[in-house]
Amino acid sequence: MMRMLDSGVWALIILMAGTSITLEAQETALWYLGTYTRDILVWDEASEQVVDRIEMGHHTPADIVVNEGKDRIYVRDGTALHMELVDLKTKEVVDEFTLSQGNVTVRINGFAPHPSDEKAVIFAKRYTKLRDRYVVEGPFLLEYDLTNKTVTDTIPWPDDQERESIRFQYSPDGEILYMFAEDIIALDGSSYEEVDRWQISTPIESGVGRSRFGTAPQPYDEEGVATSLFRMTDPVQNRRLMGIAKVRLSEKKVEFFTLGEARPVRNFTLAPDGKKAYGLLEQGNIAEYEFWEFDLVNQRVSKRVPFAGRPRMTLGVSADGEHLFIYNAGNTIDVYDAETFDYIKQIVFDEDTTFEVMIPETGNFTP
Amino acid sequence: MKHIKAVNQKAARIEAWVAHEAEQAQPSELDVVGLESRPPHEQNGPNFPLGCSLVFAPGWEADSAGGTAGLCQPVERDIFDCHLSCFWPAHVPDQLNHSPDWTSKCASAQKDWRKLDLIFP
Repeated sequence: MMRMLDSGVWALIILMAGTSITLEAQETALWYLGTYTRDILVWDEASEQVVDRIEMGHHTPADIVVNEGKDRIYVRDGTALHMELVDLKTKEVVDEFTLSQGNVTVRINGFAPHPSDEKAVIFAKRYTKLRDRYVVEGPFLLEYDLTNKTVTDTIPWPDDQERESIRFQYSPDGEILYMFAEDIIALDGSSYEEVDRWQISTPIESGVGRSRFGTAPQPYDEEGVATSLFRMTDPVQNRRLMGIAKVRLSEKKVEFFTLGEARPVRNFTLAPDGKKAYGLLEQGNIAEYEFWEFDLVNQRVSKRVPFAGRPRMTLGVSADGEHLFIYNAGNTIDVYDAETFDYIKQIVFDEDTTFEVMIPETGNFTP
Repeated sequence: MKHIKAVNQKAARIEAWVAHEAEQAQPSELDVVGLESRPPHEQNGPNFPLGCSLVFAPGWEADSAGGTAGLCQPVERDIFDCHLSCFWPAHVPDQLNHSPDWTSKCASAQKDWRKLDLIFP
């Protein structure tokens, strides 16, 4: 009996010790989920609980931009008239601004904060309501002073070509403003004069077709790198190829390898260890979905598994690399095992979501 | 079905021109494909002569194959995209100008759709 009690106690001690170690070493990520109410949900990936709610000043938080320091988020409301600034430490709205006044409505369609969080670039259109008509002007690229809340400059269009949409972002040090047009154009972060250009509109090597590489870093990309799935046409055999590229924007360098014939794989997502990545094959209209696993070390597709999927879905990887999340257009997150791709469970929220952004956190975590 | 009658020479000439063009046209050219824009390799796909913006049935949508299998799951969630991101204010309240908080009582379309209110201008 004594021996049994001893072994039971020891087992309990070992179990508790193991639990303690697991909790302390646990890696997690906080997800910020916009909803069709005024609230942003803060969902903790490890505990699978909504750990906080951020009440916004305006209805339907519809878009979100995380700052360089990852300590604040800029949230645009559903009308695109208001931007609110949320401090992620206090989980509270600390500031807001709008460019609209009186009969002039300015809708903010793009936003990139400077790493200093003192200014931002805004892509916007202006609508003036007159007695008998609306006058629509723009779109404009504006420099906005976040401290004094004033428009301080108008940024000239790349190549003098006005566009209905454009993506832009600052370099991590704020010295450069990148414009992602047909080419990637680097502007001086203060004078907005062109200082460099990466002509991606032409093939990067002779003998290969034109290709478009992703330039937006993923949550688990190393600093200064953007890993993406890309496609290009092999001009010799006139076939579409698919591959994986790592782009170093500041060095104008791209390392890539091809995988084979291009397939309709979307939602390419890098695993936290950087050695694997995942994608979703979506073809046809009725439930032809597959998980794809990419082995980035041996440069090949390492696994393909059919699964139920959804007509509209986004893929995420947990911070510990053990789970895959399928979500989008609804109030649920489906959880799958990242090794076997087996379905595990469904997380259900009270609200449908408008956007989802996850910020990895490493360190001591107590559920 | 004809409700309009030409009453002057110009209108009669237009009528004659339209009739002549209809005789010359291929049957496929007479399809109404308004509000449709599809890439060249999908030109032979199904036609939706009336897009969702002209039908006063909230949440009415069809996927690119003409069915409903490609819509949201749950399908009720589609109404939120008509409201927030589609910007066709014909059959759901105008989110941009008139009713930005229409969904305030309906956090989840599948569970709370009965709480969505009628909006009167």
